[in-house]
Amino acid sequence: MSKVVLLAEDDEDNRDLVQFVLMRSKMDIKLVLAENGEEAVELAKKHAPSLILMDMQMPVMDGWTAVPILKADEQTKDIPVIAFTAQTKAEDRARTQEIGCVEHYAKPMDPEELLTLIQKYLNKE
Amino acid sequence: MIEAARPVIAEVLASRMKNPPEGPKASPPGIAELLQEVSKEAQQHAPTVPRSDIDAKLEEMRRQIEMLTNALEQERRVREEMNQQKLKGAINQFRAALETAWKNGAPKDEENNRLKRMGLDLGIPEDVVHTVTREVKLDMYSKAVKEVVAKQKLIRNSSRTLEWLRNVYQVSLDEYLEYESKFLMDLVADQYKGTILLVAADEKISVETGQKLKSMGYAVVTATSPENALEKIEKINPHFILCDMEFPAGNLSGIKFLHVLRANSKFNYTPFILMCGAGDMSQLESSELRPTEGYIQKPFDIDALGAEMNKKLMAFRQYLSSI
Repeated sequence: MSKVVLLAEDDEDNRDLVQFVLMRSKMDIKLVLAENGEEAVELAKKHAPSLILMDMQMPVMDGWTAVPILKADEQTKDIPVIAFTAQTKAEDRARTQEIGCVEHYAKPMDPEELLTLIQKYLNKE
Repeated sequence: MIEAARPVIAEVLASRMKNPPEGPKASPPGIAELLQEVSKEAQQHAPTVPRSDIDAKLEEMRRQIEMLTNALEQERRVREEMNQQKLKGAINQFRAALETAWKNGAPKDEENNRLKRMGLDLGIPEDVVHTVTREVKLDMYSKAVKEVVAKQKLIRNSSRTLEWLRNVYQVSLDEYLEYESKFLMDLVADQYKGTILLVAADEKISVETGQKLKSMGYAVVTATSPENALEKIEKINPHFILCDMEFPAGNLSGIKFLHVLRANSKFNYTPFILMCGAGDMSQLESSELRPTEGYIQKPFDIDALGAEMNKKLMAFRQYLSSI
């Protein structure tokens, strides 16, 4: 059965690119897309994904708010969340760890690197 | 035949007996002479079919043969056309199946084998199956490359990503090189920024700068001198002119060329950059350059040239908005 990955990203081009890379990865993955944190929380409960890629800067509800909500919910607290962000400062990295993200992935992305990272967390299951 | 000749022979002999040939040379008829005469008589008495009937029959037969040949040819053509149509349909069906399978990269071996069997079962010759598969693979790869290039700002390392894609589509380096021009043409067509007229006497500079400009998305037309450029300029309507300052004796200089163009109402405000050597700077200072005109000192970095070009294009836009 295909594993579900949830991508919360407000930028359409970025969403397309992740989709493009995942589709060509030959991994058995179903990608669920959210355009903001609020949608991400809702879809995480609905689809119980194996992994969440969360952009930290989004309208409506950003990742900084959505991740703590996910971590406080019994149903979603164990889902690994990768902070998917353009912020590369050390304090941002530390902050994403503080709120419960397992990794901090800095955009722009590298397809192979991203796939390796996703695989790492999907194989842990 | 002998029976038919018998009365004729008898008649000839009887007539000889009655009227023997006269004259000094007359002698009894020899056998050879007789046979000749008999044959002549026999031919005259042989039952004959009128010539016109034979010709008519021959003509009729010829017509029938012709009709049959035409009918056969027609049937062959129809059959060939049907086969062609059938093959075309089969190839289209096969191609559609391949496109679905190759959309996201190379299918697994078993899927590849299934597709190959499908092609052969459809009656497509094996070499055509192979060619169509290769075409679809490269087409799909080319589309993927274009998608990635369109999003290259979101990608950290473009060449690594393109390498990754080559693996995803199992495109060998040889195949890539063979199709490189097609990919590049597609990419350039997508990114086309405009046409540059590059005027340089030095072929090395012309080729190197031209290649860099092409990689920036410009179409480049080169000229070896201002005179040569004037011959080409009307045809290509450049969006930008890049010209050397100095040319061999007997040619116009870059500055003169600029002045000639200023006098031409069609090109008098086309953005223009002079490529100067260090010694040319004094000449430039004495001439007044407009905002759409500029210069860059050789040797120059392509990014510096790009920046200077952007400034001139901006000035050109301002000029246009002021009209």
